[in-house]
Amino acid sequence: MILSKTLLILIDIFFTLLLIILLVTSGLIFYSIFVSELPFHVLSNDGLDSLSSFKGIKFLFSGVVQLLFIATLFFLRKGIHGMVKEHFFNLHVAKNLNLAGVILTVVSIGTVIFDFAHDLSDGLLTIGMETDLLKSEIFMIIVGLFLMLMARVLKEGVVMKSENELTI
Amino acid sequence: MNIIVNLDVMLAKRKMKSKDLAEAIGITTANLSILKTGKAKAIRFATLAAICKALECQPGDILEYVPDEELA
Repeated sequence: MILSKTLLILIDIFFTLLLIILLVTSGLIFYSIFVSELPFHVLSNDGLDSLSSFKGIKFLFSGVVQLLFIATLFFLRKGIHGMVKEHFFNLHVAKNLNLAGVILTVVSIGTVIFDFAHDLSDGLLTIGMETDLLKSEIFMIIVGLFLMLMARVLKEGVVMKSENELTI
Repeated sequence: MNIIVNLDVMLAKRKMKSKDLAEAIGITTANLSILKTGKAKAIRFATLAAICKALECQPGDILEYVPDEELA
């Protein structure tokens, strides 16, 4: 129980921070487009660069990824909340963990494909992986698949629990 | 489920109350009710043996197999 409560607190902090960052970023973008009437700029590796078509798409894509990542954390939070409030073998928990896993896996695979397409458009073909493994998409895919597996284990657990309770 | 539990019939034959049977076999009346209403998923041999001992009958007197055609 202590483990789930600690995890819940950590996810809560992370979720709130991400929401604040997303809100502030969206506010700044909204301000720069509609209020200040300045031409829309995106900070690239080279500094402040005007928005090219692919950079625009990449910018939008990272926004969608951020939103989906927040959705993942939201479902994960809901799942762990269910574990703390009720019990582990619960269909509600399994459903939320599965959703979190599916979104995380799809987003990570999407990011890998998008990055590859982006590199190709720049005339680069990079083969290899991130040296910081915890930041790599492959690690995120593994976490997503593990969450989906956990959800299946919990679903089977629900059936076994019900059968055990109905064995006289 | 193709297995029908005829515990009610046996209880009536032996003129025994559900509460007394539950006490005799060491299960709660709620669990005995689950068994009587056919909601139970499984029955332990130990419970079956205790019921047979208390009601002086055979497992076949309590449990009955009904084919799919008769169920429909």
